[in-house]
Amino acid sequence: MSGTSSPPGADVPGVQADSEPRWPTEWLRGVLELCVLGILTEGPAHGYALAVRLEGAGLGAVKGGTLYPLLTRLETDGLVTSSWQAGTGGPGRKVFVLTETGSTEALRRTARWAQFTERTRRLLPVPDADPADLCLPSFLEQR
Amino acid sequence: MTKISKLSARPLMDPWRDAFVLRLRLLDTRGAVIGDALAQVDSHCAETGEKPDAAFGDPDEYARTVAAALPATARVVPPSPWNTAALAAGTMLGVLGVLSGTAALADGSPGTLSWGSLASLACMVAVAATLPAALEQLIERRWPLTVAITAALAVCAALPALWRHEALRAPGTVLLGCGAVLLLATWLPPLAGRLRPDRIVDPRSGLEPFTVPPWIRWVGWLPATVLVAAILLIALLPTPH
Repeated sequence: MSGTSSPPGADVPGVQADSEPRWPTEWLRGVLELCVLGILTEGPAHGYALAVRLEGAGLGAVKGGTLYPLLTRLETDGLVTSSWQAGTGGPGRKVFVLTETGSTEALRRTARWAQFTERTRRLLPVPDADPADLCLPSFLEQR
Repeated sequence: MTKISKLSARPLMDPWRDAFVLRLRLLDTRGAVIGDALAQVDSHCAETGEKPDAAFGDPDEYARTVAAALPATARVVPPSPWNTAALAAGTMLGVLGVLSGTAALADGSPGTLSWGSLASLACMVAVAATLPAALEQLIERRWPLTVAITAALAVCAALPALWRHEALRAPGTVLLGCGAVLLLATWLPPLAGRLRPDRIVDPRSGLEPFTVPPWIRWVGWLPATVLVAAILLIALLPTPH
């Protein structure tokens, strides 16, 4: 943490400026892909639903310019597949589904992330804040 | 917003989408993949009510980010400069042969090719072979490069008049025949399948997401039409003596 150049609350590209809490770019860069994989373990979702879910989890409003290239990368890596579904009263939506490899990878990365955060936490002073405010992604807390 | 977003005074869709599509094209992205990325932008904007520049930022940067995330199969293999040069050389030498042969037959004398014509042809082949690689620069630095290309073409046009020494003499039928064979050999393979247009298609509708002006579809026929018109003019108009 001492090496972090921008404190929580700094402007983060791809995340709305008025959303709270705002996280440093490098933190989000590390965890966003894992969070998307985590949400997709719950079932298929389209891009906007993923963005809403991420914001609801307290990660801030993730812009389309950040989210869709990430999904494309996951698809390129064979972790998700996508298909267009007709919209009701609107344009169609591209729905993303986790592949078998993606499910395995989500669990593997989740375990690694848990290990990583646990080790990181050992190095850090205990914050005065309520642990509930640590804002770990909900799917990590469930596991 | 980037320079390429200002490319067209009358955008096909809107400046943001045009710039996004153009950059993906310049990055050799397949038409179907561009259509998919564009549909994703449209879908997201319809859901959120955001404008593309608010949701995705600069179209040029976003296109580069998308292209970097795509697999290799999402890209078309651009023709090598050697292939482009061969295509240009075959076409221009063929046209030169056909026109010189026609002129010789109309005149009733042997056909000739000057060193100036051949040098002009070599110069035009060099310009044509450079164009695909310089396309991005041409779009972003339109005026300096347009002036440079125009100057190069002006030199090409002037060379036959400046350097009239005879390089080759042959019967008109031979020049015409060789030119026609060269044109066919150059263009039949691509026309047989390699030049299928890589259209941008919206995956939701299967249609192009923009209306292409009707005249664009006829542009491809322009060179052949000009060649036929030139042959007819040379053959039918009386030769000045």
